Amino acid sequence: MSVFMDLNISYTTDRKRLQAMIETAAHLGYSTVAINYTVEFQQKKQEIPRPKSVTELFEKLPIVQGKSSPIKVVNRLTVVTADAAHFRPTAEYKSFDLVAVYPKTEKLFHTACMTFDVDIICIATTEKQPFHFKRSPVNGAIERGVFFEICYTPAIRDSTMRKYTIANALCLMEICKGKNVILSSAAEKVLELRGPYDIANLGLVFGLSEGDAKAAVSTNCRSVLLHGETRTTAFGIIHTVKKVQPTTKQTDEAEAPASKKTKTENI
Amino acid sequence: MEEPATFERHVYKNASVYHYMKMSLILEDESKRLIAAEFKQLIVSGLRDLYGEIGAAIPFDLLTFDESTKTAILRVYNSGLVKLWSAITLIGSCQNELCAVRVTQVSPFLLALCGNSRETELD
Amino acid sequence: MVRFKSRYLLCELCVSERNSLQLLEERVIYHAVRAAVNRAHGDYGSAVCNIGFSVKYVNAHTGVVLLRCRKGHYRLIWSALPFITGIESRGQRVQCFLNCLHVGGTIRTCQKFLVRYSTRQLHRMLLHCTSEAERREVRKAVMSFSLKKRREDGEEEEEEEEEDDGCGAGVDT
Repeated sequence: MSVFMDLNISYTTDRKRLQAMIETAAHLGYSTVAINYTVEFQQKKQEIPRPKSVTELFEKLPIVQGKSSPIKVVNRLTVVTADAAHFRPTAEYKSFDLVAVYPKTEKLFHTACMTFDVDIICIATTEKQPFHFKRSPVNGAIERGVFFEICYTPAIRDSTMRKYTIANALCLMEICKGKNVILSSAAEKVLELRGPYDIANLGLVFGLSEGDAKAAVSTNCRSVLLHGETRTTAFGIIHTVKKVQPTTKQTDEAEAPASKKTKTENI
Repeated sequence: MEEPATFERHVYKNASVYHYMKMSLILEDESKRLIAAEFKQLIVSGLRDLYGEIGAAIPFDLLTFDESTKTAILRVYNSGLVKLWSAITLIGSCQNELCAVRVTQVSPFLLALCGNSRETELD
Repeated sequence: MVRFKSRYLLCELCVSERNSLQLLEERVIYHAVRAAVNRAHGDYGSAVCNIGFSVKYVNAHTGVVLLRCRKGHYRLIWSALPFITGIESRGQRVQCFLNCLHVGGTIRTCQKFLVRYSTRQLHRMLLHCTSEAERREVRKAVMSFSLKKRREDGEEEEEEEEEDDGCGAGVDT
């Protein structure tokens, strides 16, 4: 049984709604969800929000349907960038388990694929893609272990956004040949979530092959989480672990480049 | 001496011409009632939105629809499964209200829909 | 070789009266095909159309239209062409249909086919010519087919001459 993950659930200040969404995700069979805090620097100076720790939200996490363990909740930050100066990895980024970037221009897309220290690159689904994907940054991102994310909730809301989502997804698949893609919801309401097998089927519509589509909801998401972990340890920051041995093992593994680590963990 | 038993193995590549899907409709207002014709209309309109007139013409049958729990069983030809399933996933609203259709089981055999084969324990 | 392969659909616009062909434009055809694909294939078809579809060449005199689409989706767009009943431009609506003549991988192959097709059409028209003068005109037109290089970017435009009149007795070729 593979683990399914939904790595994009929008953060809302309404605590009940967030709890209801996580309960629905557990009911649908997702073993891990990520609460997404979006930051857009174009508006007035926004500070990076501090992620709420998971225990604040729930006293007891709901059990995943079909398993006996509770659902795992991680925090994720998405930076919407229109300018290269917007993305500055400061210490606050470390408090998030995953970091994503949403580039708005072609130059930013290129730099995000090749140099930025992120785990996920979001693909525009609510608007027409302003630039074409080029093979060189996409291949560079695949080698580094960075994943491209396609959100499916805009396709549920509106007909024109559905066209943009499918068109952008088809363009991406032509270039990346289905590698390093994850599908996630950008759900703001409970009714916008869909089951993992439904999303794997949607991957077929977006141009993925059957195996790739299922991997987009399960194994690729796991690789993203591991990539996020290497990001925190690679800087030499040691977080507290119960035993001494795993710490040294983690710093040893952190010396290997991030892409290599995700590949071995994938097996 | 008995002759050794001969066995024949039949391998079916395409076991069944149809696929059966079990799903449930979830509305914000739980007390709202729907009749079977309205549910089929909802699915056809979802198909038409996503796949146009050709999609809306995909032949499928609504085998059962339980009005109190709003669960249904659909039957569709193998060729139309992917289109029908993706159209059902992307249904966003029903009669101007937010809704979601959750597909619980898909199988080429109708009998498989009566239980969860992964968690069934045989005594 | 990494390259986006495309398919070129060579179509002929068939109308009842030839004068109405004058209002043929690339933009008009583009909107008509997109609307037909949207109606026949919904949001998925529109998304597919958004990616690689364009109208490459339109000839208002002969009604020849050249469409370009991605290799993976050309069947989808092709299957929506029979659903076009008319084109609309400048407030007028013209009843017509698109007849697909040839599918090629490059513009060159489509042009080669068009030359052969047009010569065959002219031969058919030769059979219907009434007077000797008309027959001479048609024969002159057949001889004067040529492929000329017009633009530097390698796109070749065809020089065609066609006589539109003709009906009547047969002739030996």
